Amino acid sequence: MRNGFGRAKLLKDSSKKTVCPAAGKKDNIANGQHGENKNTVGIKKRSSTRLSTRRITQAALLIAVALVLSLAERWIPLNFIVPIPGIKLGLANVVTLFAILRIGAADAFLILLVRSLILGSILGPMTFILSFSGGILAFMAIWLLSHWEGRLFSVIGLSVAGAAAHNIGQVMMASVILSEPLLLLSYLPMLLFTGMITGTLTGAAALPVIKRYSKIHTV
Amino acid sequence: MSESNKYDKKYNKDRGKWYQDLKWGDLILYFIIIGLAVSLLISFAQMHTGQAVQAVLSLDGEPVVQIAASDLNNQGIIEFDAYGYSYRIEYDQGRIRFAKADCPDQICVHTGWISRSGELAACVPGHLVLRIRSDEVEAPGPEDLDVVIR
Repeated sequence: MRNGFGRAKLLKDSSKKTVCPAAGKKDNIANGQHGENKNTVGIKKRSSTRLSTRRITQAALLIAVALVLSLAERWIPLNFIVPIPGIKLGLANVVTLFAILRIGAADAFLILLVRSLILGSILGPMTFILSFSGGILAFMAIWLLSHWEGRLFSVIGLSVAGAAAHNIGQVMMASVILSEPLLLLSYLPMLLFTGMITGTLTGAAALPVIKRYSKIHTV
Repeated sequence: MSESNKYDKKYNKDRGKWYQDLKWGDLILYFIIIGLAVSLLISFAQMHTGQAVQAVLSLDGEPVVQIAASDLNNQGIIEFDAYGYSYRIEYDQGRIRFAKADCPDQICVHTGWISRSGELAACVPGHLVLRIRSDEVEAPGPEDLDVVIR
């Protein structure tokens, strides 16, 4: 994990403060220091289980956030502002973006899968198929481009690419289900244009969180 | 190991406008997406230059109802059930739409009226596509169907 080192260091510091005075009263200080050193090694070794607890908690939190966002964005009547059928803000892609950049691609994929499955169990299997086909393409696009994040592409660029990939995946799946390849030509251009705008907006919304996350994490 | 430190340094300056982080690769992405959308639009426009001949409702890619363009000028309603959802399709003044549907996403209803050749309205949950075609497709007319017509 990315922040394994920072966390182990943190634990070492805190154990120094708490363990040392207590150990100093009973034994001599040198022994206490020695024992404390051994202790930190133990913590470092056990840190994998601690991190997996962290992983589970983090993933659960992000799944909850993604679910709330994908349900809440259905209530935003974007149809009345921009009269294009099927237009969405794509807020749930923010979670994929954040997870890939700050937690790791494997966890991001699992979050996406569980989110789509739960969403499908609430809104029906067709929603799962459409949500997952769009989500998986967005995931792949963001993951691929995230290798150059900060150098060639910014977070907003990744968000825009994710939104475009999401639209492409969803329309492709819809045209397969309907066996109507023309859907690609008639719906996709409009969705690509609007996806560019909504992708920029959601990317700009995710930017502060992604920027500040590493600071929150190490404290 | 020191990944977190690296990110800290990179995002140390977290004040500023959202667009300050944009890189030149982002502009390439925008241009690729615009290019893709425009080329799809152009190919769509080139494919559908003909006159509207009929409106066709397809279920799973199979035409199930066809209405000739001349009939579209008269007012009419078709009620149709597919995959457990029921739809009401209206036509009037040469245009046609999904007037009412009980599908969850309502995309077909939001599409609104379609009238020009190539335009379509689709409903993914019901596997239905309503499309204006410029060529002939063999399908039963509205009067042959077990549907409500007024």
